Amino acid sequence: MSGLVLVVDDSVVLRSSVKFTLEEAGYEVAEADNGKTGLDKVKELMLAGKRPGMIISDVNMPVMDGITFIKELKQGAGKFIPVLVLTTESQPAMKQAGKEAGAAGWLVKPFKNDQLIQVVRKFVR
Amino acid sequence: MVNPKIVELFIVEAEELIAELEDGIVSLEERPNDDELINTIFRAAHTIKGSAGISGFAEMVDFAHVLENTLEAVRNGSKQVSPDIISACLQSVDVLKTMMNMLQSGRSLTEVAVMPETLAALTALKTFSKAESHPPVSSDASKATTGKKRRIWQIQFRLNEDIFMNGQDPAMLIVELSDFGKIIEVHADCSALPSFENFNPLKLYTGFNVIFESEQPRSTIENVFLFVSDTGEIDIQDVTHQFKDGVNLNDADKKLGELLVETASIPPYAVQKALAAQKPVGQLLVEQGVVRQETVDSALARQKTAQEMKNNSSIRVDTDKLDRLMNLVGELVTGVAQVTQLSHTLFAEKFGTTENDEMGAAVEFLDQVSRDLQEQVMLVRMVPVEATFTRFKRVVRDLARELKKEVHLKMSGTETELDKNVIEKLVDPLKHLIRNSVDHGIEAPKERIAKGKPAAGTINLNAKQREGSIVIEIEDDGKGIDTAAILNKAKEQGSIPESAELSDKDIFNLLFLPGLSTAKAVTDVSGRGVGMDVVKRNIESLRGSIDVESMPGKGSKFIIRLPLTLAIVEGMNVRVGEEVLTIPLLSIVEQMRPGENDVKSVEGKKELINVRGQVMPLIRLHELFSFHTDNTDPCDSLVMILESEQGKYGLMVDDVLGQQQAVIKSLDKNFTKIDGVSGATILGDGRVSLILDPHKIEQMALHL
Repeated sequence: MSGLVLVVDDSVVLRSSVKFTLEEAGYEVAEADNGKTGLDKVKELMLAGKRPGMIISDVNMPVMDGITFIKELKQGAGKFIPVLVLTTESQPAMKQAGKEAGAAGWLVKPFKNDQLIQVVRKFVR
Repeated sequence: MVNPKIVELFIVEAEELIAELEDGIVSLEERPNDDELINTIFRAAHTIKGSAGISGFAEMVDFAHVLENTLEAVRNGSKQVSPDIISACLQSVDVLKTMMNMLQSGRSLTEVAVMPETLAALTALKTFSKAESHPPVSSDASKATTGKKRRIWQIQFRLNEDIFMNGQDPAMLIVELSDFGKIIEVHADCSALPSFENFNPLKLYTGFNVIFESEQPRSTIENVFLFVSDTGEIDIQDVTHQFKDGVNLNDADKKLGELLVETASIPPYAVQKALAAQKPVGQLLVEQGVVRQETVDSALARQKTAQEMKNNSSIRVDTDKLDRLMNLVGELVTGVAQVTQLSHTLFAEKFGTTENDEMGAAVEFLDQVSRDLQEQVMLVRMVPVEATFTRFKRVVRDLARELKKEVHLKMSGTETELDKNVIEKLVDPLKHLIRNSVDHGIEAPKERIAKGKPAAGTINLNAKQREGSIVIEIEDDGKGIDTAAILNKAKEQGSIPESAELSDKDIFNLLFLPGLSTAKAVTDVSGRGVGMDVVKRNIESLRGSIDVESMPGKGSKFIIRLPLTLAIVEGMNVRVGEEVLTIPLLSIVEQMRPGENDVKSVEGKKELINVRGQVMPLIRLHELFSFHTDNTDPCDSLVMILESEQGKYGLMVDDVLGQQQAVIKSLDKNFTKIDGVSGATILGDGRVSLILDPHKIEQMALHL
């Protein structure tokens, strides 16, 4: 499985923070700043023969939110890419929506770097 | 330890978000029911909190959290937007800004956290973030609140299949809703309905979409669904803005299929099936033989490229890089000018003629291209004035509130572009003029009504491009400038003689005298004149000018004219002895060769020149800068008549060489500041020419 992780979040700080952490752990990281660009990025990467091993996505983003993103992703060729939701949202309804959309995991911010790496390891080796 | 790169990114991101937050909050006052706006504001605060957390700024996280709570209360409808909430939010934006300043200067945030401003903002915010108690749920509740604005809500809910087993009934919920307002529409979503064999009458398969009109707050509606909220999806949205006279305006943009599905006339799969049977227009055209497949493919490819371009229409570039680029292009233009001159000379020397000079033609082409390039690079530095203008909304709002006045700031021409450096230096003067208009121009509401004006005053802020310069106008509909009071004040201070008779225009110009800005003048002269000399000086340092127009009782207008860019000046090259100097063309009124009787010496060595009856000081440039020249008789020299702050004066030079677009090189970085010189430029032949500062020269020579 590919060691490439796609991070979808509107905050460049969050993206960079995840990127640095994962890169230190030996992963390759791609970025997108909302659900819409996330979908485009998945397409672009897959066309280039670089299918992401997993996706880490925020929920609350402009243009396209994380839940819609996951729903749309699961309709297309990205169907089998596991998505970890990384968000401050912890409401049961939101989690439920995420699960129904097809999210594989839910991690609430703020997160510890070790914790993130552990979760990512479950999906991508 | 947090990665320093992250902190750097955080500072950039947070500054953008804080600006977004501030602008959003100010706009929210005008559009309190704009859900999308509220969402944007909320998201900005939310992201600031999250990013501050990652970057390790706990104080900022705590503060942003309280702001977020208040905004959440506004977002979920439990608090209505009010001027007090807006003020509290703006106050906290200021605290966030202070925190950013501390971070940028590398200081700890602990001191900001205990500053009185911070505590005041927190207290203000906390009053609003407390949950509001739910209004009593009773059937006559709607009557009790008549007079409130009616809102239209869209309630979509899909409950768990086995909801009937818990004694719930979706129909009862709709009935309960009707106690609090009027049900406009109910649609059932039957998309999950199984086939008849699989149908279980004890299960709920339908979802519902209710359009509901009510004066009740969102919390009342939420209360209706309280006991089913854990067992299904309920989405309540304020859609008031979508409705007009009971008609859903959104229907206008919907596709026929969507409308049919929504009213449950047909299931969605039927629409999908019908759509799938349709062929793309390109395919139809190819089949009909109208176009070839390749033509359709290339049109599609063009569309795709254009869409991609549209998506990536801008990038961020460091201004330092732009400055360097600008400088290099300036060097290029100068270099090309030198080559042009050399090639002409060499060709003439070799062939004894300038005809058929192919080399010359080629070099001229190069010259043209490099000038075009220079122009394009200059355009890159231009940014719209919108962001700057938008800031003033806040200034006007705060000051008007403080003075208990009503003032609207209207803006036009915000897409007008100006050199970024100019815009930055323009903020303070503009702010000053706008504050003046609010403070002294616009009258109190009572006074305005007494005069038959609307209670709310208007300030128009307008930008436009006119003939190579940018014009910015600040116009108010206030009481106008009291010319008599200014005249008296100026006479009292001895700025002008007792007997002076001045035109209105001259009197307005007195506003910019430093003397007129005393505290007493503030009350006597409707206050205009406070620091106006500074405003004028700032604008002149940008090589611009400011004019005033005013009508008593009708209002005043300040007109600022600015050059398009600071990087280039139209200059006149003059010679004094061996030196070539550049005078900004804007300052030159005329040039003349004085006759014998035109120049008179007065005591104290000062000289005067008579220009067709108008007497003005004469300054000998060679004496001022100690240049050597054989030309010491004004009658053998040329005198440039220059316009300056204090009036006109003559500047004596040996000769005028011609006009040049001078790329300004700053001297301050490499040399000490030289009085009377504002910079340097490189001439076509590679020599350096100093650019003169006409105001400074006047001050130096006349010891003003």
